[in-house]
Amino acid sequence: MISMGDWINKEILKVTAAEAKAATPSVTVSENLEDNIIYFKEKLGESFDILYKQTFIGSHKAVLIMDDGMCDNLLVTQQVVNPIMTAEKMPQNASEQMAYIRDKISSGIDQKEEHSLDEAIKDVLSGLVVLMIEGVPFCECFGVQGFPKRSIENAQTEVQESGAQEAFIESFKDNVALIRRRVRSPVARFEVMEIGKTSQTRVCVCYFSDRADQAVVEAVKGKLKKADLDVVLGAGYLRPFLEPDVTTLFSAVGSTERPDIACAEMAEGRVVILVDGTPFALVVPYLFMENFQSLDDYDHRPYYSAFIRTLKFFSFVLSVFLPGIYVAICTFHQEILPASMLYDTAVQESITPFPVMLEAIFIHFVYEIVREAGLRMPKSVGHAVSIVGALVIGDAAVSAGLVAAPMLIVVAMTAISSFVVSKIYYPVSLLRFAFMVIGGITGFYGIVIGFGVLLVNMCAVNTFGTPFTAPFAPLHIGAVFRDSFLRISWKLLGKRELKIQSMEK
Amino acid sequence: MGKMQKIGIWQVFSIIFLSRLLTVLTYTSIGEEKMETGDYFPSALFAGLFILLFSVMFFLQNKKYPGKDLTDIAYMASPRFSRAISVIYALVFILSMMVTLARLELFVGTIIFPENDSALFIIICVLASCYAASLGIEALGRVSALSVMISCAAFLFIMITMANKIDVTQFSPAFFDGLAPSLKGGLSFASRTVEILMLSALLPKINGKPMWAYFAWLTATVLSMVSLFFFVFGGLGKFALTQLFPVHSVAVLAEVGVFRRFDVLLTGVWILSAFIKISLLLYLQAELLQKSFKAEWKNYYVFVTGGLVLAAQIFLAGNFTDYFYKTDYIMRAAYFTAFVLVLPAVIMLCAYIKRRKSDEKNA
Amino acid sequence: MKKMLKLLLPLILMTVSFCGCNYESQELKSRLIVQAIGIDAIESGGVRVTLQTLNTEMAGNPNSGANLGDIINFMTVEGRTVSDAISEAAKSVGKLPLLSQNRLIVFGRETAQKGIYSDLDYFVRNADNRATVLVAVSDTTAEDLVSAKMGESILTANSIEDILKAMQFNTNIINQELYKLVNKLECACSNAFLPVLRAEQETGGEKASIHFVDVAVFDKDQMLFEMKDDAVTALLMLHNQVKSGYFSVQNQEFSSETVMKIRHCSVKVKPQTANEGVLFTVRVKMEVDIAEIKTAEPFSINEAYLAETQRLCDEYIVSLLEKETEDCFVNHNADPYCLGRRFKRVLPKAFKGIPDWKANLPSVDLKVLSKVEINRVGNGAENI
Repeated sequence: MISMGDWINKEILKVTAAEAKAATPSVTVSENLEDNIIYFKEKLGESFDILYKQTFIGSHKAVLIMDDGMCDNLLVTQQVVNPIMTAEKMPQNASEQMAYIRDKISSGIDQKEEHSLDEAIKDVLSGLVVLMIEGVPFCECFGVQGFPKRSIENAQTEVQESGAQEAFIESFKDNVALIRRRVRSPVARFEVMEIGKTSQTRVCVCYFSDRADQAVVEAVKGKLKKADLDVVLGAGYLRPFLEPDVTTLFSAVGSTERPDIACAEMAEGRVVILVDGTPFALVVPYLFMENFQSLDDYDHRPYYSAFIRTLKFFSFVLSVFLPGIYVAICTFHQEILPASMLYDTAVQESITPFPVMLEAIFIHFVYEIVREAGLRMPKSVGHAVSIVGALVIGDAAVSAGLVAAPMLIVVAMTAISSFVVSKIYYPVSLLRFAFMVIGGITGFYGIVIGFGVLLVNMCAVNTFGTPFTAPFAPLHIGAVFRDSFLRISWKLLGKRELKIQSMEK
Repeated sequence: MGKMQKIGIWQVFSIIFLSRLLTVLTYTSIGEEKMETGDYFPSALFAGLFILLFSVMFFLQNKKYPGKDLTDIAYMASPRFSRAISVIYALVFILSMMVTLARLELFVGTIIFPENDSALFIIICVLASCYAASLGIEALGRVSALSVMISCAAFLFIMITMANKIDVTQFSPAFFDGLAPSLKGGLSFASRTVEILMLSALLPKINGKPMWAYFAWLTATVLSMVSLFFFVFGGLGKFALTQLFPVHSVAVLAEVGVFRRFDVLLTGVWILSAFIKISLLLYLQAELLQKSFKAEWKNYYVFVTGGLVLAAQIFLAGNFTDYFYKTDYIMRAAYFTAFVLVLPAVIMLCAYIKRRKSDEKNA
Repeated sequence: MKKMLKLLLPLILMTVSFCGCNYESQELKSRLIVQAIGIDAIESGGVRVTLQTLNTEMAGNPNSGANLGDIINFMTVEGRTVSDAISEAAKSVGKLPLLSQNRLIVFGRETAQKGIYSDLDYFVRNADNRATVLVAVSDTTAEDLVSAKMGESILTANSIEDILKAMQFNTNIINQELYKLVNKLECACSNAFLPVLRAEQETGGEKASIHFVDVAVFDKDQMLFEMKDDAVTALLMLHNQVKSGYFSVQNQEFSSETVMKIRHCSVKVKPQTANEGVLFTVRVKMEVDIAEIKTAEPFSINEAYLAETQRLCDEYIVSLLEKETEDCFVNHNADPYCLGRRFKRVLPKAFKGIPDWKANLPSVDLKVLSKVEINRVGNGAENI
């Protein structure tokens, strides 16, 4: 077992070196207002949404700069412009004026002092109003954000039967608020960094300080800083940088749309990463077993949760292996089939012109086409696609003798099973095709070898020091019976917290 | 992967148990001493005793040089000696790999693909094993831990479904022809045990007490042999001895409702065990070679050896398939004694002498 | 280097796997699915093999109403050996035979009398063949039995298998699986046995019906004699294979015949040496129900009747076992009951002292202790 401390230290050293290399000097705010305005206009160009209001505060020239689309105009007027314009007893000295405005006049809480023009530009582009006064070597930024955003809606991809229906939205500040609302504890930490050379996307690393391993937190931050990207428009952009060294089909970085799940993950000592502009949060470390767990399991009774999780796992096995096993049985292992089933299958297969393997690949490929079409089409046309798909894949193909009826049953069962564990739909689809080919060429025993390779590949993955296949390999009996396929009652579950770090041994 | 990977006791047990289980599953009476069916049970017990006896040097190694394999101990005597030992044991593991692959090829060619060429399957198996070996002992340990559970579940299922077919009258009386057949059988079973060497080579990688893994493995091996023989001969009787792979044949008896031929399930477990065993042997020989030669070439050792073994099997098949059948149990026991008892004793003796000399010099 | 390997490896695998790999020939549609095999010896010294196969050839598409016709096909081929004949069959239809679904091996009467071992070897050696396939002897030729048509959509092999499996609830039927047959043939101290079946054509029709005739006992691999009815019951009992069935006892005192239904039967055989000979103590424990009473006048059973019936049942079982075993041992020197095997297992030293078990059979004694319990009597028990 590699020492996580050593591994973390290695990663941090790499990042520090990279940071030192990338650091560039920043331009400070000049006392000459015109120079500052020129710098702003050079950097931002002639963008119509960047507004410059030049005015006088006392006898000093001043300018207010804002991004029209990113600010709430009412707040700008109420908290910044009106108070400044109607201020009485404004000091004469420029610096004193700035201090007076900051401390006595402005009614907002979100405000900060900036000495760097580049940082001030970032603040303007983030929806703050920047105030610069002639003769003052810094600027004051007021938080009056009011950019358009979606209201909080139901989760689309992680549907729960019971429990909260809220989902994350694109604004990461609101997402943080959703988490804060659930965990009103000072241990919840939210550290922001900016990633993306051009987009400067804000990424928030969230964790509970009393249970997350600081080394993991630092490693996550280190890896994110190392992400050499131009723009970051979604959480998926950052995922590869958080993945472990061993390439695997199943992602070792989890994602969730739900704040309640994010809180639960943080409570287990994991790190949640919120990306501004994405309604999905990334979670590390992430275990394979978690693909079969949902928050509903914790609302139901333990025996039902155990049943549902086992069902999900069984569905996963079915969706990956069933087509391959069917092909293998029809091609190599006909002795397994019971007599009556053998006769019907033999008659049906004798009609079709293609070998079973090609038939299976063809029909699954058509199914994927129909599925993808249904996903991308507008909802109004989606129904037509499903009807055409059912007709094409179903009745017509069988009647024309292109595909045997048992194959259709296999496709249907596979499709439905794969939707049960939708989180891992994509790797499952690929694996299905691989096992179909293997089953058609080498039979069931080739599938066993393929399964062995898949298993050893998953077992080789360590996600931030935690084995991906925990708690089964390495075996952690306590965790297996506590919360894997089986789940103990909340009376026992709540007695002792289980941290993800305990899976390392 | 540059850092030292270690595995726990349960994983060690799983690896060596699966490896031994494969040997038991691929048992064939062809080339073996002929015994009455009742003599197989005492021979399993004698096999356990013989394995215990043969493990004396391993016990000594663990006690006197904990956490060190034979190459490390030989290095204490001389670096050149260590190099020679690493090559010798790498060759022993390669030979074991060839025998395992030969058995697998015989099984695949006779039972699974009698109409087709089994070469493709063997190629895929070896390639997959090379990949698994390149991932390291941690991955192999974890996959073994999972596979042992799958194997046990599969066996339990088959045993339960064929339990009603057991007929105790099919057992002949034990020791009907005296003690000699059971003793010879026990020696024959014990001489197929490469797991002692595997454990010896894995000592630097074990987290915990290796002796627990050893004794658990020995107990599980004897129990698995006894229970398998019970089901094989209780189910099929002497007919089992006419079959090339009796354990596979007895799985044919298992049926649940309209479903029959659960031998496919047992064979799947068998293939998985073979995959793990070949991967482990590839890994161990690469580990030994990289200690004495270039460590950066570890993956090359894995893939090149895999390629050589594969080429030997495909082009020399027949010679290697017959190897273990033509060699009688005395020859096998002698070979086994040389590498499990004699050579380790020589290595430890040399290291001890060298240490005494250097202690005297320092004194 | 790694990139090259990553590119080359899939290419090599694809080349190897897709060309020259004729997996199509293994598929279900390209296989001759054998359901039953019949073997008859022919005068020239070879064998005539009759195959019953599934008819899976479709002239059209069943989904559009095309009719398949008969569910089974028959073919008869000759060859020097069984494998020769089967390869001839494969040649004639251009399909590879699939033996793993074979349910039945039938030997003709003449073949059974000449010896079956030479023909049996193919089925033992072939890995495709199941060890649990049922073996039987045909009263006439194997061809007659295997090619019997029981109906358009009836799988004859399936029906024969069902008849033989009626051993579960009938004490006059026995079946034998291949591996058990081979074990008995190889054992020097027991005799193998096989069920004998006959196919009878229905008058005026094309359909045939299959009947269980009796049980053929073998000496080594040649048919020695046949046993039927009570002898088969005794055989089943001594093998502890009686699960269910009926037997009747004559009650002179009450002038009636009582039919008993066997609910449960357990037989334990204990070998021992006695008076320089071998004695087998057979303990039979049986639970029965009264199924039917055949009497001239209707009457209700009473306790005296039950006691008498119980005594008669015990007597019946004792006399059945003693009589049938004596017949086998004395008249035929045969031990299809595997008593010798039990003796060898329990008293190996004493067994070693007997040079030829079968020659010693006439001196073997059997002591039967029977305990029959009547469980249920059904209706009409108001006098109890």
